[in-house]
Amino acid sequence: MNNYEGYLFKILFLTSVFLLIVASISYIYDPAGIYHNSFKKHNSPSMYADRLLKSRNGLLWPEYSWNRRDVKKILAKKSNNIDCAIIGSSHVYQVSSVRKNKSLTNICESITNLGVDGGTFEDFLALSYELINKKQKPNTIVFGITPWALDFYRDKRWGRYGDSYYSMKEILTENKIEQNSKDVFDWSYLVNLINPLYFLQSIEQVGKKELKINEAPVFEHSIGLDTLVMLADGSIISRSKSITNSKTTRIPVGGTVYKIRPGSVYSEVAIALFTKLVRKLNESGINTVILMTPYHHNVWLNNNPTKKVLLEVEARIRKLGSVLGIDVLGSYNPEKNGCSPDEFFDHMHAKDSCLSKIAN
Amino acid sequence: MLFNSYIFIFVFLPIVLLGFHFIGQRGSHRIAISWLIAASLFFYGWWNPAYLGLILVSIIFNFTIGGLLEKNSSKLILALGIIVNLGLLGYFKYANFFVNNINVLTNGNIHLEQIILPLAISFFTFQQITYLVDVYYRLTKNYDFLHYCLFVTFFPQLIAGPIVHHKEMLPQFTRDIFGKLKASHLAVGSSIFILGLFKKVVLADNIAIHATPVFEAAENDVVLTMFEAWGGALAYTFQLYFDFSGYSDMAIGLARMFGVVLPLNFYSPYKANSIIEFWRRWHITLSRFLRDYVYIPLGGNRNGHVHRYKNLMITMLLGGFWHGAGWTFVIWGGMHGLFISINHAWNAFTKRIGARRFGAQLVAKIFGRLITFVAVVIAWVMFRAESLAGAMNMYSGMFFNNGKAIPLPSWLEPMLGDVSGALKMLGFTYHGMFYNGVFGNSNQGVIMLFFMLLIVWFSPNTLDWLKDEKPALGLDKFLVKRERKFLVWKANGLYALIVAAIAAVAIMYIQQESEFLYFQF
Repeated sequence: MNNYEGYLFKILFLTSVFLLIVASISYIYDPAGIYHNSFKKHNSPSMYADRLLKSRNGLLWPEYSWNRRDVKKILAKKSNNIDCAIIGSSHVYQVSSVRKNKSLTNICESITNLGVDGGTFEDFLALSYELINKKQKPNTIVFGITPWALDFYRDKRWGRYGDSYYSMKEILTENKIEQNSKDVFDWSYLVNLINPLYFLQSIEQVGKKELKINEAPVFEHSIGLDTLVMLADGSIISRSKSITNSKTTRIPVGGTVYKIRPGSVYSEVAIALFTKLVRKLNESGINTVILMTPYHHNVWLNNNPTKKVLLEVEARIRKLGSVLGIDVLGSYNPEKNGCSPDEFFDHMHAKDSCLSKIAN
Repeated sequence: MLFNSYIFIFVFLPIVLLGFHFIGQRGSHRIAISWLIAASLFFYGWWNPAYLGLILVSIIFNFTIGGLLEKNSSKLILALGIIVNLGLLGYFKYANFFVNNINVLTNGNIHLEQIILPLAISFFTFQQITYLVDVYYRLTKNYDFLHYCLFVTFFPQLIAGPIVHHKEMLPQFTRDIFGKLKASHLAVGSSIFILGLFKKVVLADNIAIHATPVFEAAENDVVLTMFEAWGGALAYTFQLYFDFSGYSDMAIGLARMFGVVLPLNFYSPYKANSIIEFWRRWHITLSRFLRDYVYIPLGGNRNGHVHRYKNLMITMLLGGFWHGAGWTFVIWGGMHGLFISINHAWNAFTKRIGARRFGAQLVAKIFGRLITFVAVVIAWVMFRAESLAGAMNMYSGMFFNNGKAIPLPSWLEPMLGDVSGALKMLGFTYHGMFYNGVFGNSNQGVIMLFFMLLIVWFSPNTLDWLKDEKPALGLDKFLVKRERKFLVWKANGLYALIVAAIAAVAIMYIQQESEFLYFQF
């Protein structure tokens, strides 16, 4: 016997219950710390940053722990007597002044690495705002510009320090940005609660012990530890498993598509705002430099769409550097940097040995 | 707006259903129709409002021509109607293609801006041509403009079919009961829609990550291994299957929510035991259009074998060209024309020698499905490739390993001991089967392909599952006589639980909206 009304009600009810369970687990365990900071009461990002600045070998960084933007923002505020601050994406994680393969030694004796996952245009403004408002400003800011970074909204995670971004934008555009336009509700946070990957990551968190801030033991940077390590300058040493795997993983010709889409590679509006940012920093006595980190050799094989984008963006960046009168270091092309194919973790992340060949 | 988007499922659809219900409850049949037309035009305009004018002009023009034909069955008026329709389609879909080819042939330099293909133009053009032809042959009744508008614009089938026929749609719109929502329609329709959504966002979109990089690599001259090329071809074979099957289910389910039963468009095509049967199961309404309005008018099988094969080839070449303005689509159509001709020749041959009496039918069933499937996979490569060079690169990988030594997994070498050396001498290497890394996570990809093959070959389809509810027009001829008691949908708690679980997973996977593959045609 069919009871269609009852059936419809049950579908609606049960689907809602299933989704509610998923959303609750994602919210409660919140592996990326998006919705709340409950576990950080005794282990705040501020405490992590303080310990990091004093650490000898760096601190362990367990998976699903602090939000990297929280920590980097505090590092930007608290790191003093620093020659250079580098802002960028994970492409610049290996730029360091405290490891064997030091980077950018021609211009930086000491570095604070403010690179963040998916770092992009909005991160440049937000972190620059923190640096320009410090008493002890860095001498130089290095912008690690990825092929997608000269455009708006290529990543949403900058919202973590949205206030800093809007404050810097207000300064540069000399326009007051209304509070309600800053507070637009982002549906993606709601949708993320039922994201299958986020849910699976949340499930992995069930039953795990409370996080603690732990100093890393003395270790070989080229081998790594079981856990990711953040060094005292904010640069990152990958997990040993990732480093080992990178030696055997094949890199596809053309690489893997990540944030690069042919047709809309950069925005002239963003470039104009970046130009204002550089001029503002220079007026404040901070030098600026652009850095391009290389992509793996396989990305440069044949005429694939990624290669075309890399060539186009690099040409635009060099033109921008020339207009601004600032140094443009490195290249997306590994051969121009003298890097070999085994000096990469994957198709777009160069190892410190490769990066140390730039401006050294 | 896509069916597989939150805005469609949680905003657009509930509003349209509630509005339809509210109006229909008050017995305002014509207002309910108008509401659905307005909603459908909004749905169409969401993509690009500029083309709303195009579809409206097309509707008004065809209805006017239809009216003239009703009064006077003039060949001239019919020809005018068909020429204008095909001219519109030709301009938007094929102008760039023809100009490019003329430039290549004449070494010319004719410049034409890239013309954007209006969504659904291939579908609503064909629908209206069938209407004009049938008016000319006096096969229609006097239709009302409002009903005709809904016949063309009805959003569940507007974008990517089925290519509906006025005879099966308009009578449904004119019934008094149309405009009144029923719980049974909502229950059946939503269940079919949810299953279609699952196929699209969970199955099709997840196997696509193994198909797309392989085809892109082929376009970029990467020397693919045999395993990568076959892996990519199979992954696309299943991506297209679940994408189109999912879309067809969603269209049928949505229409059913409004009490409309759409024609069957997709019925487990990879279960076909011959290529002829494949075309009776894949894009059924397109096959029907090509048969009734191209193949039969060309003469069909009336003038002997040679004419039949010629007509088949012309029909399939046009069918290929309908899918897209590119030589790859034409060649894909030609491949299927050839396959069907061979199939007919084979049938005639076995009939003549009496092979059918010797139990050969059993053998044909066993091997027929496999051969048909392989032929379809090979042809899909041409269909998917962006260029002939890309397709050739894929074929070279699939059949000749691109002239390179066949790679085996590196872990196999120590296990084989002395045999490994012998294999090396025979032309094998141990670099890994998916050497270029373009197939994604190869273990995951191979497991997915295996399970998807099981599903498409052996599991009952959505419409089988709901057969008692008569979910689609024309389903009866596919249903097996023997009565299956299990896995027959009932509106009870158990099936509500199953469908709700599927719905929850599908909703979770709508994180990134991806277009249906058939939207581009």
